[in-house]
Amino acid sequence: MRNLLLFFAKYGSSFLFILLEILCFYLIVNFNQSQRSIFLYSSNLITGKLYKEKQKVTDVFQLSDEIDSLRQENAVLLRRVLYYEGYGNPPKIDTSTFAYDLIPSRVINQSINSRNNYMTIDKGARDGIRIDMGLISNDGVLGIIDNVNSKYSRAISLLNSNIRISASIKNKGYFGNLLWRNNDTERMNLEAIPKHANIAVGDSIVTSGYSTIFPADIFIGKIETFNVRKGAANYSITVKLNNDLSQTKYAYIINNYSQEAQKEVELVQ
Amino acid sequence: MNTAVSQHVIRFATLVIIQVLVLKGISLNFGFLSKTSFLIYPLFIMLLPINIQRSVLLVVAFFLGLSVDVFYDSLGVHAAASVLTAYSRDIVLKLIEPVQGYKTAGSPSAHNFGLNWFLLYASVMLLIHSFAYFSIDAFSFVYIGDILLKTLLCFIFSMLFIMMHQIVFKVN
Repeated sequence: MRNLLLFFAKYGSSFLFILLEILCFYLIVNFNQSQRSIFLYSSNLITGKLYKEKQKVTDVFQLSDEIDSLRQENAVLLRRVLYYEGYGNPPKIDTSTFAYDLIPSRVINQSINSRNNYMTIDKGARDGIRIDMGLISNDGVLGIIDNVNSKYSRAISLLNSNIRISASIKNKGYFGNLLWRNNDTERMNLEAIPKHANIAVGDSIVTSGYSTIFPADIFIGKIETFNVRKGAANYSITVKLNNDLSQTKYAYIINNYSQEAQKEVELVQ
Repeated sequence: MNTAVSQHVIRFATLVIIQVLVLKGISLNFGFLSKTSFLIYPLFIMLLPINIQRSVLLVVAFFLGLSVDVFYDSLGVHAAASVLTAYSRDIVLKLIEPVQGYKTAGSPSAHNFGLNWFLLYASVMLLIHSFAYFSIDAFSFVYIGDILLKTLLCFIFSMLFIMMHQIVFKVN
């Protein structure tokens, strides 16, 4: 005990010094805008690096799940090839006439809990990404790119109050707007389907192909419930999403080669 | 309150008031001289009695810096620099101790130890303080050129004030 007191008598002022400097640092970072932004910028460099390293470690553990999902995707594609080859005469595929290109990418950051959610993708302008490209996974639609820099891009997630996707009911032809209203991470709302349409619970909802962003018939989800509000001309339809947006790790960005041309012709009044 | 303490209290108030009401507003508009600023309140830390307890010195310096910060709208910046200056005061005093030692309980002033000695003492202290202040103000050594220029300009102009003060007032 005596030694402890002697220790404090000798170095107490140094402790006080460190304590006061920490207090000052706290005040500086909390009450000064420019220092605060520098502090956040520097600390983000460190935490960003940390997250990336952590991702490397956790990736190893999730590898088998990844392989399973890729294998399943592969099987679907292989089945189509076999189907064509079964006719003995596989069609010649001329890639130069493709209307769409898919760019594979990783989702490196995303939110699902706020009113307006976003995803960050590890591909940017140098990989050919532009604003207004669609983002899908093998389970369905994910979002739309809204901000691009050289290395990264950000997409508006389906779970965003600003999103509007032109969707239709598969094989029935009716189409409407898909919106996110209820802060439910698994469900969206389909609007503007006229009430004379013959629909049923379990019907598949796919992209309509009427926008320049997504090609037609990309799966989105299934009808969970529907009703007609009194006096309304349209159904209110709840769609259960096929994608689990909280689990998304990989995504494909859709590059529509004829997007510019289509927009140009639609602009003319 | 005895005269020794009241003398320091009055100096505290006067230096802070001159700093925030007069010197804060001065700007020289001649090219790079526009980066000039004045810091004279560290003089208070320099002139506290030699035998003051170090922890008391630190706390007093903290409140000195904080009261300047309130007027500069930069909560913590002046305080951090002041605490650092106060902490290094004992080290500086030990390094430049006169041959005959400090034989007084009074202040390390020009009146007690001579103008040359005080010039050295004040220079080291003011350099520490202004470099610390401008570094914390920029908050990043990316701007090191700017920090050094500001430190140098501030040092030159503030030293003029401090030496004038020492010539005019006899501090015991």
